[in-house]
Amino acid sequence: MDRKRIAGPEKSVVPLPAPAPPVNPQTARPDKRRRDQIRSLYTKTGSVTQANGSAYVEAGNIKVLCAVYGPRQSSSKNSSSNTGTLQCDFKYAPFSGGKRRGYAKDDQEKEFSLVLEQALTPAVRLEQYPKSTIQAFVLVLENDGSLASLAAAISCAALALANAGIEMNDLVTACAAGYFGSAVCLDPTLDEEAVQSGAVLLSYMPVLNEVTHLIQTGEIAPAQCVQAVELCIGACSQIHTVTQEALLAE
Amino acid sequence: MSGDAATGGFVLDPDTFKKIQPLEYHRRFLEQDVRADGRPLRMFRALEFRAVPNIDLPALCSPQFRPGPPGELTQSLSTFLEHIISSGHIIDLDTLCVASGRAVWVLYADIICLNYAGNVLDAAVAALMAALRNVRLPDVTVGEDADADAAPVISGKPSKPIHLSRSLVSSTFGVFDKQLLLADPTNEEEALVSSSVSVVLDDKDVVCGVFKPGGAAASKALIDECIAAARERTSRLVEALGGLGK
Repeated sequence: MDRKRIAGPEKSVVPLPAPAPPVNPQTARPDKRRRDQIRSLYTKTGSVTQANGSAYVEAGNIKVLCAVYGPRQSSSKNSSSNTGTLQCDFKYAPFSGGKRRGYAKDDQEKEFSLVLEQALTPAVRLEQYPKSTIQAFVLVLENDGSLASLAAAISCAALALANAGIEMNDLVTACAAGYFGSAVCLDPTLDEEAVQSGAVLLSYMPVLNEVTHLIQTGEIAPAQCVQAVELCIGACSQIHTVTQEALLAE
Repeated sequence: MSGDAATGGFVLDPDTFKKIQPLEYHRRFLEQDVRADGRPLRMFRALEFRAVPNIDLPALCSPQFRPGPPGELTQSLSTFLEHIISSGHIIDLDTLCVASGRAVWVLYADIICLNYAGNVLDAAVAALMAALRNVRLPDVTVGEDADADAAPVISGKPSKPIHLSRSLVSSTFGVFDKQLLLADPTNEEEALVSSSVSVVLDDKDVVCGVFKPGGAAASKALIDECIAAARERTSRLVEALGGLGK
């Protein structure tokens, strides 16, 4: 038990939602998007004034905030390294959606922290920051699709790194896609995610035309996987124009 | 045996009697149609209604915080918030009742600081009050057989706001050089002030909490000055907003 926070009652349950019509993105998506259409984006940089750099990204209902601290001197353990390290921390806010989450990081958040680190590290010129650590803290304020919020977190963290003046090869953007029968839909929401048979998350450097990270889950025909990757690459380029504009507007 | 002084002058106190003869102890009460805790036989215990406020100062919001469990400042702020909500009777408890004696709403208020620019308590109280005013509780139905594990189901009826009996405003002052009061200190000032005093008032000019977390000792005159300044600020705020969000 967490004695350092105010605990609720021993047992509390979330009320079950009223029965809703089933979601079938193959025929029509609940928010009336096309299959290859991502949610509309809003980006803002510099909202965390205490940080060296920060960014806020909204994609539909998804709200993600990222603050970057550093480069700071590494702890003595790895201070002899000739390249810097990028530490990423991914956390859902307790109120981000559905059942209330605890403050301690759960398995999914630990995994997503790792994905974030792997997706961004190839873009950051860590050789420029010997003996230093760069920390990126991501907080998801509202979650509407777990892979989609991770994708938004990757784009948001890249924007925050750029805002902090960290040297990078390119501005990484990311996009998720879900498989629904024979259909591939970009940027699935939480309701759609519940009925998908598999998913793809792609992180991409649009200017260099290089993929930094790719996860594919679920059993799917190779052609359909290729189609999903191509759709994601297209969407990543669209997101790149938005994040680039946010940097130009600074 | 118990309390029968006439037989031998030996009196067994109730607690000892309860320990050695629990069955007989309870039977004595039940013979009188009342239970050991004073309830009638068929009365359920009242369920505890509560709001659970937690302030979080994550590493994201400032370089002065590190990842991990909350520090002492965070813990004391959360506890203070819980005190002012419960002792101030902010929430009308009847509106949090789902099914009398069986289910009540628990309000979890998770307050996360996104950018620590000093004086987090005033911002937290303002955010908490705004969020409480914005609460819409869905209409739920609880199963008739009181299965404690079954979750209530949301019905199609419109959701309802909760009734707040008062609105709170927190005003924090930093004490600089043991005498100068700085209203709403920034994080730079917070590092330099000798102590800070927060005064929480409601919209009817009632003091609902005063918080002075350590620091240098402050005279009573200084505390009085803080309360006076907080009252003036709160009344101006109430006037400007035409009542606090009502």
